[in-house]
Amino acid sequence: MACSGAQNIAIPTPAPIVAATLTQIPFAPQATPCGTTFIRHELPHLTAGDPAGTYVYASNGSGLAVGDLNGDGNDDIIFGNIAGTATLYLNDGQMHFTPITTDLTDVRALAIVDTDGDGKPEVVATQRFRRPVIGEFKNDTLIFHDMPDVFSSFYAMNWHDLNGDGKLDVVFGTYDTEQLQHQGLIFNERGGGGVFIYYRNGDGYRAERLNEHADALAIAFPDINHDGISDILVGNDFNRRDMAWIATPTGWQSIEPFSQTTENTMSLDVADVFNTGTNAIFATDMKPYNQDVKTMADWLPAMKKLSRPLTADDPQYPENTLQVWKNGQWQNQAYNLQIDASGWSWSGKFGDLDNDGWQDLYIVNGMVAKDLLSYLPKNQIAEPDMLFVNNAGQKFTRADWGLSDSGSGRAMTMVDLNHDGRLDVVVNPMDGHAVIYENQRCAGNSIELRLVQPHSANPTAIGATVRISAGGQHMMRDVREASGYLSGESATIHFGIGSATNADAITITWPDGSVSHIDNIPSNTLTTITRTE
Amino acid sequence: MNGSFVEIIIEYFNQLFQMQQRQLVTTQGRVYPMRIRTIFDLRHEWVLVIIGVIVGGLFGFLALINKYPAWIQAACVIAGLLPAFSRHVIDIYVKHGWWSATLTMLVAAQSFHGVEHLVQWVQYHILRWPFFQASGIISAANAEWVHFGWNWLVLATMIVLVIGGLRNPFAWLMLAWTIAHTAEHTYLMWRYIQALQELAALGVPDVSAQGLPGFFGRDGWIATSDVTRNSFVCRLPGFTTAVRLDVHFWWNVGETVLLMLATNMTLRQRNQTDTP
Repeated sequence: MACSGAQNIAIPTPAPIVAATLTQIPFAPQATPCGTTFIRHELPHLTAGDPAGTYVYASNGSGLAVGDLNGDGNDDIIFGNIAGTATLYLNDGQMHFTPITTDLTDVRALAIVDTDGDGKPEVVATQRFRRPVIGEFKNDTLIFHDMPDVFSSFYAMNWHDLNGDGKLDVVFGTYDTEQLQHQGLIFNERGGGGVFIYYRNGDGYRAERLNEHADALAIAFPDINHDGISDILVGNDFNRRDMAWIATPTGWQSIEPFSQTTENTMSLDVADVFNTGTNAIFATDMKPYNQDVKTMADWLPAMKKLSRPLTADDPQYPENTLQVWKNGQWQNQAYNLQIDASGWSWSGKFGDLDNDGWQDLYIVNGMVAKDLLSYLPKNQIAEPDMLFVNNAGQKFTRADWGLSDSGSGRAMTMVDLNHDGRLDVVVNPMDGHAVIYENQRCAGNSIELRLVQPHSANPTAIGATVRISAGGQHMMRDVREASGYLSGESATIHFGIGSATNADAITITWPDGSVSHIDNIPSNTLTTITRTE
Repeated sequence: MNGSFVEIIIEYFNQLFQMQQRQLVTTQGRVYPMRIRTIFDLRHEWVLVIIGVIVGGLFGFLALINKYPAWIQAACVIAGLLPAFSRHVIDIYVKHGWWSATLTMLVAAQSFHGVEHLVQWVQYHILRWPFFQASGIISAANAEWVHFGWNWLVLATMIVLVIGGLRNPFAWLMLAWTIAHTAEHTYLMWRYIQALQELAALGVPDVSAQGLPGFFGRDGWIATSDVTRNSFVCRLPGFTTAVRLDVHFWWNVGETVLLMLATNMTLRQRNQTDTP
């Protein structure tokens, strides 16, 4: 495992203004009649655990990623698998998908990202007991090769330009508990695990090891100390504390920014939940939504196996958290907003599913494990996925909208697959078929933006931030590679703007800190914003 | 209640007490009035207290080295103190009657129960033990049965004391408080038994279901019911946000304080009445 000393982090200087050109395409008309629910489309892909039954660790399932692999302007989808193989679905933009099988198996995280800055995105996959691989899409085939200079097996990953050199770096985290079970103590003898940054270095990568132990299920890059620079947050499973590093001029500094955190962090999402221009950080954990006797009896034996005594200064509690920046510190508001309990939760993400200008929260749930849940029928805790509708940032109300599937959801992302201006939902469950939920709620306008940096090694501007005003609301979104649990994000960002007919005062902060201002973008358009300097 | 079985029993003990007190006054002169501090004043039993601590401590130590659970070790020490306390209660009964002796038992036991909750609080908030391990001292035997049994006992004793004369505003408040607290523990016991039945049906009877949330507090019925969800009621600070352990800590603080106030007021009234 190649390691080097700490990397000096370039701190952006005051933002220069850069010009940008716009290309606008109106949204496609709604293909299906308007309704109040999502339409469920089941795909043939099935993520399977072990042939003899799904056990713990395998039951963590596999990721998914979205991105335009074939350059036709539509976001394609790749679903990972454990016992079976990953499947790529090419999207024609009209809810028709062409499957392309791969030989990729035992997949954890997936990304569709332009790792080398050549303008063509690749597929990157972490695998359970192998080093990460990169897949090039050529002639309708994905051809995988080992990722250069990376020799360990990792679980979670996320991509970002962490040293300000304009190239995309990647943060990987190991899942030590599974590796120890698989390899025994030899895992530690071989150097163990932890959290690593791999900085892009020529055609390869140069590693910086941030720590030596992790059970990383999720990695995010929020600005933890509000200095305008992305920091690193790693969510850990199995009572291992989450880890945070802030960027300083001399390198990465470990901190504990939260007074209360999740205990078994399953996913992380960063979103402007209250339209304040400040991101909140949401993490999922395991806590039953209902506390009725039957539910508690289903949960208790498993939870007693997983709980461990904590030390006096431990900030971990087994429930979802929503860290909100208030009065100069992070405060957990999940319980007050009634989003602390959603079941055995995996991917939890924010997105404006009804285009009302406020980001709703969707969480996929459920657990299946032949060993841990041997006492339950089908060895399964079957729970509905949960949608919490954001009511103007004041409270969250649970709704169905056809999204309350009781499959064992794992990876999940929100993306507009058919260019109708509405976020669809894609789920890769465990022991179940992949599902696309087509959004047919027609209320509310929206805008979608694609940022392009033509002469950059980061052409889709991962790390950029966009702020808009619309209908009296001020909203913010980030361009990012991944969020939630093992779930890749689209490079197209989506703003629901309610009844507003346009968005104004658009400010784009590019990954290098440069800023572009755009006066006006009409509603119901997909706008490509190309940086010209 | 006139003419009821309870009235007949109370009348019997009153007459017995008056007869004993006449004898006591004859043999020892004046009987000092009962005060709230009398309940905790074990100085005259100091020999038995020391012997009890030594013997109980010895048995507790034996339980420790034989790896018996912590609640058995604690029970040994408490059992060692019982002879001294029993003599103290008998002494109060002889000097002040059955009502005062019953009150003494209740106040002392309630105070000890408060300590039990304090220990639980420390285990959870300071030592950060998991909720199902933070069971206090004796409650570790079975938190649900211990607290359910205890609260019904307190309620029954309170009713007897009220019938016997513990009647003032604090006493009525205490009675209402105790009824509500007992109702919550009855609900908890019902959930506990239901959960055990569910676990048995799943083939895992060895898993404990102690510590489930009740009516009040974080994740309790009021906080999570479909009836209250999305209303202000389900996130009232403390009322529906405190963890079960804190909720019951405050239940008992309230119970102890109200009992002390009610006792103090009644004893003062009685002592004024008894003063020649």
